[in-house]
Amino acid sequence: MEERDIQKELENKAKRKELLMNILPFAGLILITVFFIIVTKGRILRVDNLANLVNSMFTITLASCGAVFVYAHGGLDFSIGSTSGLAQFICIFMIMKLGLPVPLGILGAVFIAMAACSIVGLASIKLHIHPFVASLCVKNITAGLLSVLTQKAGGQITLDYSRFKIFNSVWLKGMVLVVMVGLGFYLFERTKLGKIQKAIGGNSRTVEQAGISVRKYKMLAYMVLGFCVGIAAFFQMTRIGTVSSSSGSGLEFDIMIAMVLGGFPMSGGSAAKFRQFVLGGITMTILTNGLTMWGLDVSYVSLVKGLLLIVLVSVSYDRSIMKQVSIISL
Amino acid sequence: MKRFFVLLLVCMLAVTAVFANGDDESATGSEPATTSAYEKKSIAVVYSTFTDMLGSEFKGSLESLAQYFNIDFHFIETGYNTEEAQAKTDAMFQMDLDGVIFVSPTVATLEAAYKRNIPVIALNEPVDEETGKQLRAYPNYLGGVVNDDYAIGRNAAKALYDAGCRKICISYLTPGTSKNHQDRYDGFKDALKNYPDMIVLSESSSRAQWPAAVKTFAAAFPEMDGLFSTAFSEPGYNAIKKNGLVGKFKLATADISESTADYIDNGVICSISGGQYNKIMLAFAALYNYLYDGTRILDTLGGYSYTPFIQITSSKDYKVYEKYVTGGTNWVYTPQIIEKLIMGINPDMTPEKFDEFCKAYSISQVMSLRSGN
Amino acid sequence: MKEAQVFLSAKDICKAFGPTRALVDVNIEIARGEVHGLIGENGSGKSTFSSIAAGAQTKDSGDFYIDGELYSPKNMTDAQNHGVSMIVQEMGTIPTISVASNIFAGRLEEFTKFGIVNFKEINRRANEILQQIGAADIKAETMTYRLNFEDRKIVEIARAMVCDPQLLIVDETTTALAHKGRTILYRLIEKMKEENKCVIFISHDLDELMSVCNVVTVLRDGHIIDTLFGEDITLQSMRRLMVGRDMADNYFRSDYEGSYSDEVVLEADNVTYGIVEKLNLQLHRGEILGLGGLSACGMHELGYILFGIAKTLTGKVVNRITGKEITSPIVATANKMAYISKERDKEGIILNATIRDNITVPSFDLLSGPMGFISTKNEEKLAEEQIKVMSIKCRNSRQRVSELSGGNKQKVVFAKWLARDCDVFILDCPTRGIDIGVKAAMYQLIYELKKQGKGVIMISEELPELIGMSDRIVLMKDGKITKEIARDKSVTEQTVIDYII
Repeated sequence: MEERDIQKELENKAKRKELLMNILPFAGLILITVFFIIVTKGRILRVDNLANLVNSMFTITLASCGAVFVYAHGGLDFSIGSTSGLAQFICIFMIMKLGLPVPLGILGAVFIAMAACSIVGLASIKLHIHPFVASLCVKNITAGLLSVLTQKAGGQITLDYSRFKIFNSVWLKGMVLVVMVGLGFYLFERTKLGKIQKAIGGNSRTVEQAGISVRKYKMLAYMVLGFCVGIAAFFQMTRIGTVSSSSGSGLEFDIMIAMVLGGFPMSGGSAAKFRQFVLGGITMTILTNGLTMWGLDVSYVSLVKGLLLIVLVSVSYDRSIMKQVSIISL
Repeated sequence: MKRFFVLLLVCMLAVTAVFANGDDESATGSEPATTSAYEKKSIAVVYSTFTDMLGSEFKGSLESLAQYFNIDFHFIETGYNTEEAQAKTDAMFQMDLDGVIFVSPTVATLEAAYKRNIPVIALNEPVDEETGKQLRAYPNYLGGVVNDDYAIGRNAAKALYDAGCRKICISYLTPGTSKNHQDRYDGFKDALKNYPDMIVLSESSSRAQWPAAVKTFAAAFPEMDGLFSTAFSEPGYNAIKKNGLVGKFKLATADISESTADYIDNGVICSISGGQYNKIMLAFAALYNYLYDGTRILDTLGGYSYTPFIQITSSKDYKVYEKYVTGGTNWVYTPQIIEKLIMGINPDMTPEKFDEFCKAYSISQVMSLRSGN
Repeated sequence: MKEAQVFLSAKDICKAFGPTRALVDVNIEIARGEVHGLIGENGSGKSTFSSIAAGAQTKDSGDFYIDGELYSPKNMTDAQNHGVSMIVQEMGTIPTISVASNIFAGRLEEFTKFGIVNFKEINRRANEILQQIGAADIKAETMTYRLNFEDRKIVEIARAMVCDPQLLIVDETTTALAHKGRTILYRLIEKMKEENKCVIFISHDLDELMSVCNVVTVLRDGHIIDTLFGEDITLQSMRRLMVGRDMADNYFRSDYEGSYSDEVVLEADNVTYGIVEKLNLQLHRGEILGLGGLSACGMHELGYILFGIAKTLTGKVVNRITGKEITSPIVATANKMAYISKERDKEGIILNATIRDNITVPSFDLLSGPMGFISTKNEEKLAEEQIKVMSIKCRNSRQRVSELSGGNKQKVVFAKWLARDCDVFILDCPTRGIDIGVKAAMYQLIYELKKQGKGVIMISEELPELIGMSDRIVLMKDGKITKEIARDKSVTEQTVIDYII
């Protein structure tokens, strides 16, 4: 009977490990939050600041809703920053210079973003270019277009701020977030659209031989990403109020940080979960927001941020999935 | 392994939480100074970075005034990412502030400040008509003390032409990155219209490329005899020296640094401007006018007061510059000088006099102000 | 039994990988002059045991003794210094360096003076060793990538002999060797026996074990079951000990009549791809069609063509039940066809995913409800059903497939197709690398499919399997069909071999 006990114990050990894996990403977030509550003496929880938090995490969370599909199948897109900038420009141009109604402007932004992301998708699928390279090329194209267009427009275009104050309302943003996150979660975790991405990320040949069009689903992922980036771009535009050649830049890096902080596996696959991206985004936002509120002397900010990031990452990122049992050791 | 890291994180955070204090206690410049005659004020200063040359001059010069005027300065670095900048600014307003010095405020910032009744003063003119219009609509927008960046460009063009240069290369920043640099570039290009026989061989825009720009231009265009760069730095000078380019071409640029004196002496520099951090001290003065008794000193001036860069043409000038203008312990305006700019404290001061004072910024003004110090 | 001088003895060795216990209280003695076979199903622990003995892995508990002294190797080099050397199962040479460098990998310091490596000496020693083992045609200076698969394996053998071991462990090496390589290996083993040294020989090939070993120990599920000596070593006794029950005649099929309907379900009409040229083939309802030949004869490519993975340059593949032309896997699955690849880990299964996620992949459309909603409960139900039907040995459906043994992995692959209702099955090497017990279960399953009226194509490199299972055997050589043989008691490997070489 001793055998069975040992077996049971090993099974319990495995169960505990599974539980731990599910909790760890939250651990990082909780740790960071508690830390900043202490250090800012509670100011971080003030209603005003909560509004700020919603504003700050809005873009990254929205983009995450789409990014999760692409990264889950092992793809990536480094162009979304400058694509967002270009989308913002088209949108603001349509509204301010052409006088078109706002919904059309939003459509314009979404269209441009979806087009750009689709190009990345097409290039990597049809031309067999690694999405890394494909997206860098698209990044150059969109950034270049943005630069030329903004220059022609005189450097930047400014919004008639008062008209758009409503889009900065925390309630509106909160609702949009809830809807998009809810939709994203549903599509990713409960429909085949998301499940197939995870399967492709695990082994695309298996999926191919199971009779599923890997090409089609990869494209869909990029289009979903484009859609989310387009919407995010619109709100970025209303928040900042101007569009210049540097608008939107850095989004792809923020996404990567959110991905790592949340414990999302870099090559996708079945271990990928929607909530990892969202968690990562929230953690990142609190980190940035907290650092500012803390009022730490500027020279120390980068240092502390770097240190915090390293430790946070090692807590939440699970490498055991990558481990392979190998009996060769030369 | 993982547990180790968790423990490490918790310890680190605990230590930092205890020892590294935030705002309240160690805000710059406020030792338990009960010697100041003025009420404590809290002012946020927002710029892209405080660790480069200009940024650290901005910070240092304000800190030198902190104790005298009893100010808690909060320096907010926004970086170059607009989204992050906005987030940082939003977070900043969580603090109890009395005023904000913002290099290039956005309408969103003004809105946030307006909600909390906080005055904002700028260090750059609005980026375009539309923004200017919207900014001026806010009652808490005090205008700004700004530089005439166009003049830099115009002066540079003239200086290069006078020095005999006819084949020019231009090094500038990507449009949209900085209005200051853009204006210098525009000023230069505009002035070129007056010198039809001076031609531009090539242009390059990238911040990190100044030393690289020097090398590339020199290699690709050996016939270049003049270089206009919207700004310059030590690595750039090194590049000139290392590549044996001293004497090959003339340099007209902005931002004064250590090697400036040498390169004026050896004839490389024909025109250089700098010392522009004074505008933040003047802006502070304008802001303090409002904080002291609500005086809006810039209103009658049309909202903006211009202060030029310091023009250096000889190493003698540089010596004066080094003594009184470059930072460290000596900043160009002492607290007493600034005090005299506050109308509520100094009954002789008027908006016109303020404007004159700003405009008179030069080596000679500095010498006369500080002689006796 | 004459008194044997024990070289290596293992006492109560235990090793676990997570919840899987690979070795449980293993006690073995390897004596001098023994060619000691270790057999067992995949997952029985034989590879684990030998890799621990050779210093490639560490044990959890227990002790090893060499000539009575405690032996605890820290790594493979340490083990070699104690006289224990292993030829590893997986590909163990570095292609981008020379043969000599591979042979002396990890030992370059012995030839280094003042930081300079004496390559002349290394090459000389390497050539010496190659000559000693009878592989003088391989030169030490040659870059390894120029050698074919078999020669590289021979280099590994040379590497294992460098330290002049007292105990040589041969782990499934013969599967990678052809005639030349096997001769070298057998001669080497014979020499070790004559020199009163020992060999541990691990293989799946029971016939080979019978001819090479004089002692055989059987493991099952990490336990030592029994040890057979000399004449007691027979196929039947080995099989019985391995599985725990008598296998005898019901291993493949019990009937000898090939029976299938006249109705054609799948037809390849004049297809061309790769080495396959203008080939015609028909599969009937209720038929197990065996496709055999040498590995490069084109049968695997034919499998790709039939399922639409490879596009044929001429002619077409038609599913005669639905009448549709098969042009891609998507079309194939839509026409109720299934395909099991011979590359299980690379193509057949998603290693890092759970059993459930693997089983549900082809069935998403079936599981989707309104608005595309797939309920986790339904997924779970589907997976659980298949786990039960296939008797997949696992913790639960959320266990990662990579933790399963080869046989169970293959069960998952089958399960994913059985969850759909398929009419045609194309199986490529379905029992490769699977232990006896699961193999038998697979054969039963395939026979069951035939009885249900499905059409099954079984592509295999194992002749006994083809002969044992097929209603009709189609043999291929150089991309063409050379012979068709109907099922009959008299068919043997001899009958078949002439048509494939």
